[in-house]
Amino acid sequence: MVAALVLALIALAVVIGVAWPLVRPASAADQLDPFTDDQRRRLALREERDLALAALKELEVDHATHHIGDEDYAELVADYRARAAEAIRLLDAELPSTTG
Amino acid sequence: MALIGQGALILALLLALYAAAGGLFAGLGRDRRFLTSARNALWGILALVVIADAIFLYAIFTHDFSFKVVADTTSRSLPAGYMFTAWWGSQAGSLLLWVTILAAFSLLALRATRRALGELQPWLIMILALIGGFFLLLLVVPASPFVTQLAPADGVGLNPSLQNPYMAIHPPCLYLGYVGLAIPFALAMAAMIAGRTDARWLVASRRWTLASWGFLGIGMLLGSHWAYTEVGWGGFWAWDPVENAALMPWLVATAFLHSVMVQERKGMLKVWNICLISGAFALSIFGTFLTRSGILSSIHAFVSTNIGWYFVFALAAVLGGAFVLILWRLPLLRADQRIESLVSREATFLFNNLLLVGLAFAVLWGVIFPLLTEAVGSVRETVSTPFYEFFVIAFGIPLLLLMGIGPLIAWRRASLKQLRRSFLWPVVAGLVAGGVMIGFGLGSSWPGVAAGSVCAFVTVTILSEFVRGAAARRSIHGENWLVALSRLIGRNRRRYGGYIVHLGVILFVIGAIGSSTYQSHTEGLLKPGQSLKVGSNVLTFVGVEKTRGPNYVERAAVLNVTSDGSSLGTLKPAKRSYLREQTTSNEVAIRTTMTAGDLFIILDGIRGDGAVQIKAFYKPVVGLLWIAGFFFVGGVILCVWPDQREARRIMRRYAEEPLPGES
Repeated sequence: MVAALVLALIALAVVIGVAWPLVRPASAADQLDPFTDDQRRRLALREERDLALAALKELEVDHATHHIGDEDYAELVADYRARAAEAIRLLDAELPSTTG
Repeated sequence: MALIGQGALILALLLALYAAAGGLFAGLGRDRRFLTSARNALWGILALVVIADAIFLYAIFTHDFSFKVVADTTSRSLPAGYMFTAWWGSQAGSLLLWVTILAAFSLLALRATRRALGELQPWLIMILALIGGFFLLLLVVPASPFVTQLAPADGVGLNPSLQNPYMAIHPPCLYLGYVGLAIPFALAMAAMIAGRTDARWLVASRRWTLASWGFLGIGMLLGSHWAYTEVGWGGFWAWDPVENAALMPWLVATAFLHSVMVQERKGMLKVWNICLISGAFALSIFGTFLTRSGILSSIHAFVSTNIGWYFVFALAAVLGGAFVLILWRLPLLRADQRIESLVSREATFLFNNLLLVGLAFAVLWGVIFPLLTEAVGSVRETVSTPFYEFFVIAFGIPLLLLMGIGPLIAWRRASLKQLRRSFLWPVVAGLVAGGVMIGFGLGSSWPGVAAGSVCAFVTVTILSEFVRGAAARRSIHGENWLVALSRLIGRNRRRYGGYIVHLGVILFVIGAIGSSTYQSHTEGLLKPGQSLKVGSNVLTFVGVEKTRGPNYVERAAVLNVTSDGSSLGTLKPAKRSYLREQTTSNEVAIRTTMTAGDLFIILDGIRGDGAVQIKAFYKPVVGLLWIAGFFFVGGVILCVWPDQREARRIMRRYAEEPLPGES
């Protein structure tokens, strides 16, 4: 009997905790924003830009520690700079929703 | 009490189902109220599971044998220290521990990803609630810890081999690893459902995978030490299915931790990484299935206890669900770049991945082959150690080699001139090490010499990475060696933490090869006063000594040990008879010297006339196995430690784009 009462109290507490957010009146803030295709595209460009910038840093370390020769270094640096620049150009050309 | 415990688990199961549905509604309807409600449900699950834990532990510590599980795994004479380990000594108790850890980890994961991966939250809750719901279903239906009976006067007791300090920490470590892998899996699935296949989920899951991988590794190492000191057969790894159950997800998670770097830097291997993390989690479920379904004792035990079918269904759901989601999101998972050269760091990571996954498959085949033969025919064909050793050598030596090659090769491509320059000294070191081993008479085992050479090659590679990096900092920033080295490590924690783990692997390999390939072994029947020689040590049997412990009687063979005429002390290998459990265990005697190796003695039998059967091993450099553990732990901590610079960089990237999430 006591066990059943304890269980009922626990169940009641659980139901209140779970149902509480649903019983209060809904507001505009309750709407979760969707993840749009535009956002996905801009995020991909930012990733591309950051990957290229990170690769440039890594190349510098690889060059300083003699893992990569001068010729390869120069060629790869030029390539990564061009990639980063292209990503930044495309981001700048995007609509004003870009805040960065 | 049992009624409250069982009721709490049933309520938790209902909450898990509700949380999954709430996550789904929140995700589909973009309704924050359902998200909050589902998250509250996860908090409710944690609270209810903690109530169940408390009741279960209370029953254990108060010897309430009306709980069937308590009567089956404890006794009144069980030392208090081992009462706690009885928690995971049973099927039901260990599943309860699984759910407890998962409930806590789920909330931690939600908290950690709340801002950066806000729109993943509904789906993350749904996946984690479904996983939790599965284990709660097991606890409610086929494996309840709250089944009661008419209380017997005393319990059966705990398996004596589990009455060991290592068993207090080894299973929880493995569980932390198994359960932890649920989080990166859930993040991957949630990211695919939400269409957030950018690198953010990967960054969030990396630390979870690293920590889980670390716990699995530490758990296996502790288990090895337990097997070495407690099981008493003379080795540390027997390729037992239970050991393999932890090794398989660990191998696949190792592959993931390497390939994740390729995705982060090159945007490649996106599908592969999702496959790896799904595979690692599926193997962690498979590991729990192996150890908890009864299938290892007999395929018929699996059929008779229907818990096995629940696991089969869960495995199918995990693998099937991942497969369908990958197919759905394939257009978003296209690689940004391609591997330009086979001589590049990304290519070495790819080879490393293929070898690790190949080795995991070989181990998996070794585990399931006996089960298949028993299911198809009537006799279980066993897969013995040589099968595993073949694959460990065939895949392990190239893997070791890649560990040395990878750091020396630049990303994208490497020129012949640079390779010559980078590899000169490591190759010389490898050749010299091989020559020295042959010169010292260790050429009897070619895998031993090959592994020794490769270990020297890798060690020089890793050390040269530290030296080159510090030298570069010195020349660029004008720092002294100590400052340059500490800043080098501090600012590249993942890279140098990884190297420290690699050094641990090298130590482990040297310890494993030295202690198995180059061990000496002898055995014989000794009467008092007679001697046995192993290596340079002479063991002289003095007599049998009888002592009484809290719940056992121990009979030990007293052996005086001498080497070159000087005394090294006394060793007492023993046999313990556990009175209540009605079983005996071997208590091996080990004399450890850090510089040389272990003298390892097993008391195989005591005859009526007082003679004893002794097995003695001399195991060189075995101590390196355990020292490797400290390198492993140190390296993992270094890798897992939060990197504020990386966090700032990532947050900056996502702060530029006002993504949906919590404000």
